[in-house]
Amino acid sequence: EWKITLEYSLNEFTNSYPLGSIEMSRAFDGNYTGTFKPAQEQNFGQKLFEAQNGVYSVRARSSTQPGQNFLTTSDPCLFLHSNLFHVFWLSISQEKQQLHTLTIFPDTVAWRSDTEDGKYHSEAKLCKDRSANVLQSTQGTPKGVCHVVGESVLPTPDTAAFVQKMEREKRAKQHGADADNRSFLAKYWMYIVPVVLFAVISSAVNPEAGAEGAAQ
Amino acid sequence: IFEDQAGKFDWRKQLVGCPAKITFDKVGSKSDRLIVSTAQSVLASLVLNTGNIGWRQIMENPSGSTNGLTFTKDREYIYSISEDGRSVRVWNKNNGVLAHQLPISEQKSEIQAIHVTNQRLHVASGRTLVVFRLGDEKPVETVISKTELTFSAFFQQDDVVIHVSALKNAGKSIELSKITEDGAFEPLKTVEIKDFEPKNCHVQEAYLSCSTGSTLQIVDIFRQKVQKIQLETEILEISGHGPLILARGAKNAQIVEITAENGAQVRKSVDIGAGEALGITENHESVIVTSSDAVRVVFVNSATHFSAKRVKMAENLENSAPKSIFGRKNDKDWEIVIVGEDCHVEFVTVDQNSKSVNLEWSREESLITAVSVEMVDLPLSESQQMIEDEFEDGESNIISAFIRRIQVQFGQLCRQITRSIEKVIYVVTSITKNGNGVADFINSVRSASGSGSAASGPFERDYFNLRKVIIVATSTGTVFGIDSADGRYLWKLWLGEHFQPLESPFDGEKVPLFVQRTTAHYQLDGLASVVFSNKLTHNGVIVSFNPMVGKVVSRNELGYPVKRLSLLPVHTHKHVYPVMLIGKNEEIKIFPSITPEELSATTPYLYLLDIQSQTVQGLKIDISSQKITPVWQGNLGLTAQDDIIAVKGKSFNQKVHSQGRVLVTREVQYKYVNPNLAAIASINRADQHMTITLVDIVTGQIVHSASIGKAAKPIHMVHSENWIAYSYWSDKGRRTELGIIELYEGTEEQHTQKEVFDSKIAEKLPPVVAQQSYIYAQGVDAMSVSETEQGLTTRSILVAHPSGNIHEVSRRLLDANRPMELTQAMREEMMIGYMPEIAVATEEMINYNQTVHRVRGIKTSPSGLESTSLVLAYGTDLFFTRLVPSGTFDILKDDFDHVLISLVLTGLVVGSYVSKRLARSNALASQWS
Repeated sequence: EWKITLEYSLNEFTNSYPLGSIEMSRAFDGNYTGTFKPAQEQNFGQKLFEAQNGVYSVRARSSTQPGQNFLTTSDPCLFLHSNLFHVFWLSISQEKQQLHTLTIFPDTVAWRSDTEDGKYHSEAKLCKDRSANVLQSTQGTPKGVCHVVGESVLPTPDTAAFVQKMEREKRAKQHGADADNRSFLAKYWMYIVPVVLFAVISSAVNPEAGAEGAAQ
Repeated sequence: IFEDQAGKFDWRKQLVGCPAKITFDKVGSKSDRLIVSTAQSVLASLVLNTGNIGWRQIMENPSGSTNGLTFTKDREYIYSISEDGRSVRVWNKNNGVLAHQLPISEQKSEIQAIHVTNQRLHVASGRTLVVFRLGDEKPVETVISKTELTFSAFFQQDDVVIHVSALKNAGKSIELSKITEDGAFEPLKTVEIKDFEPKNCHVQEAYLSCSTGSTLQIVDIFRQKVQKIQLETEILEISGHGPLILARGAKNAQIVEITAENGAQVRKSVDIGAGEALGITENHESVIVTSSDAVRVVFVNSATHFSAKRVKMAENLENSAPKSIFGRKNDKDWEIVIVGEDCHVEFVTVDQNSKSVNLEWSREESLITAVSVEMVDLPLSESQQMIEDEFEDGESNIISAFIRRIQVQFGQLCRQITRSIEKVIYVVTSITKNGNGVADFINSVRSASGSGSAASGPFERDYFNLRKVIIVATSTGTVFGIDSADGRYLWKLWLGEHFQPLESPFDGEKVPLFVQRTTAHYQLDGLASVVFSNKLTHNGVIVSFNPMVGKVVSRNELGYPVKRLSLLPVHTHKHVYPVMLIGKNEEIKIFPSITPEELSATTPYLYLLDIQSQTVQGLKIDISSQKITPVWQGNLGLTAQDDIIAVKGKSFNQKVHSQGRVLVTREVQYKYVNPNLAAIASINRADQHMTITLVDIVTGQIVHSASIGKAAKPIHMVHSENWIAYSYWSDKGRRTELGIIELYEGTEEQHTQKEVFDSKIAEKLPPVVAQQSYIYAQGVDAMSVSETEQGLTTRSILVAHPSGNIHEVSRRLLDANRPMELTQAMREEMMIGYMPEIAVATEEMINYNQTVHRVRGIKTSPSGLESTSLVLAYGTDLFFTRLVPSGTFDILKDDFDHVLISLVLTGLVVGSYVSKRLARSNALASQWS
């Protein structure tokens, strides 16, 4: 029910290009889901590849918040490694239909290879050292899914449930409903077993003592 | 804590604050006292002979001015205006007990005056003037002025009391009202004062003195007459006592004397430098001038004057220039209280014949404004250094390693012998000095063994690294080094008269303190830095010093004001962590500078959070090229109505011992340990919602955001490991509530076992958030969390109460996963079921009966023992103690009975030999039979 327009840049917004838009629609329970509609651009992968050691910035504008800019920045190398799949992490306010922050992530489900030799090494400085298996194609359109996070509620101390629990326990104690129904052996086996073991061991030792007495 | 442990591991410092008014007083048969009213709303009585606190009363924090309480006194009581001018409290002068509290007005005011005569008490506060008969609770007369007042004072001569006031829009005149015997107000005539300004005026005896430029106007209140005196220089300050008025200019002070026959005339001129303070004796006609190193006494009625040198208290306790002087004369000498710019209070006596200044006692009151605290390890001891030397060189051959080892062993043996000889000498000296028998001998042996490990030992690290140097930076301009063993001052730094604290939008005044190099590198001294602002230029100043001895290593002033500053996570080749200071126009300075070779490949950038009014930015700072780039921007849900209360990141040397938490179902729930997570707490003024937002600073991702209605200040927050504990006042429940937020990554199937955390790679699922809230039946002044070296010990949340207690709440009580219904498996895991209230038990107060008032912060630090944390609470008082949240699991108990175990073991060994011999004899005898 409201729209977020995206544009991206690879040189700190000296040149910017449209990336697409995200349409927010309300579900029955009041939460929102986002649908990413990419722009019709075929050279997205080539641009990312040429700027693989640079900075990939996305700027967003919300239709419900005119005049406010939202910015997020990531590494192009991550998206070359994830086949240009994005995860747009949107933090919103459900009541006011406002965007709080937007963050782009690579979609790790779409990573090219997650084996040991194909892992993404975050500590390296250059793209070819981080990933041995980046996308080499000269084409490609941006693809992505949205993850919408809303505001939740901090809890208050739950005195009502506690009082009900205490009353229930008191009532159950009066009726004796919660009495332990296990048998005597099941309840006290941990006390019976040592006594039995001690008796068996003592009776095993007794014949030797008797024999020694007879020898004397 | 056991009874015999009280005071053994902890100490407390009680402070009164920076004195604003001091009067000498004599209390019955007791020794003389100083009645002190301080800038921090404390009224106290100090014993004049010792400087100790006789009694102390802590009032509410002042909402406006910091000029101390307005008070007066008679033979038995002290009368002070409290509650920002709304009431009068009457204190017993002997013991400080509150005798009366009299309501004055419903409105707050800073225009206050109070006066007491033999039978009546006169109070003026704001527009209200009240007269009480002494001992009564109801006023005799109350007058409320229609207009606001800008000046208010009482004058008394014999039995006549006159109230002087200045109305707000009346221009240049003061109004006089005579208060008659029955308490009625009788207006007198209006006196015109040219260019009347209350802040340029001084009240004494029967005279009101005002200055305009170089003109001094003296109003005789009881004759309603104004006399003007033209002085040579511009008057900066007026003071005086009795018939003497001191008008201080830039370079000298004119002494004006008022006599009945000649009126006011200039008697004498005294030269005064810029860093000197001027005072007048209460009961003698002499003027006292004090500088940092000398005291001058000038007689008014003769040409006599003399000067005496001040002595420093200790070599490394550096004093500032004096600010105010209060003095009086005895039969043979002058008794002078000197208050420095750094709130250092000294009591000295000056002897005229010998021209000597005797320092009787001194107090350091600037600790009441402590804003930054760090705890630094002591240097390695000599034997520890030898051990380090022994294993340091890895390239030598076997023979030289063997020789070095023999040297180290021989050194340890010599050291042990020397220590034993010192103990024997101590015992012998004690006997020859105080020898009175066997009991004294035993006591000296005990104290010899005690003194070997106490503060009188060498200044080095002890075995368990429990003794540390506490560095305290105050907003008055001082830095202290305090011994954590007994609270003794090791050194003191005065940062200069141009000191001004930095301003923070959330926490008020800030003097950031950074430990740049610890004493772990024993060849190099420790290094710490403090950052403040120059009062004149507003530029940032960074002062680096040795934290062991307080010696200043370097002092640099930047060319710009400091907007933000941070300690870098990389160090130079001398193991110094640099401090980065950023200005308003994105100027960057790094002290000390760091070369590109010292920057490793993984840490060339630093990410900062920049919070404006409605926009929050994440900034990336390239340390090598010193360029600032915004990397993300959003509003985090903040509107113009939101006030940000707290921003808590993670300390970058915090240890998290365990990756996960074992559930009742034997699964492991892994913790979401994001080192870049910051928690932001804000309050909306319109609808009173408190919102806590967890933000990744690198990417701007909101990990979690939650709010609650009907919440109010005070709000405190603690961020540690994977949890955030917060406290707020619930207007709905009318109580304080504690809350806890815990973040987990999920169970074992979802955990990817990554070695490196990367903020830019999102998890497949958002973190699992567990939240819970508890009722807390006390107010919260400050919150902190305990720290140990490896993070293995259970963490405790320390909560400081307004009543002066510090409560230790275990993390097992403040837990987001306490179940409402306990099953059998949960009982076996010893989980605690949910109760909505966290009980406040008196045995969980870590400061037992040593109250610590108005705690502003609690600093915790790890010690060498994993079970033990060190805690310093600072506010109006200072309190230091040890904390063992999980018990002392790594040392023997204090009540471990060594003697009994030794006796039993010896008995068993002896018994086994005896039994063996008896058995052999019996066997031999049985063979013969």
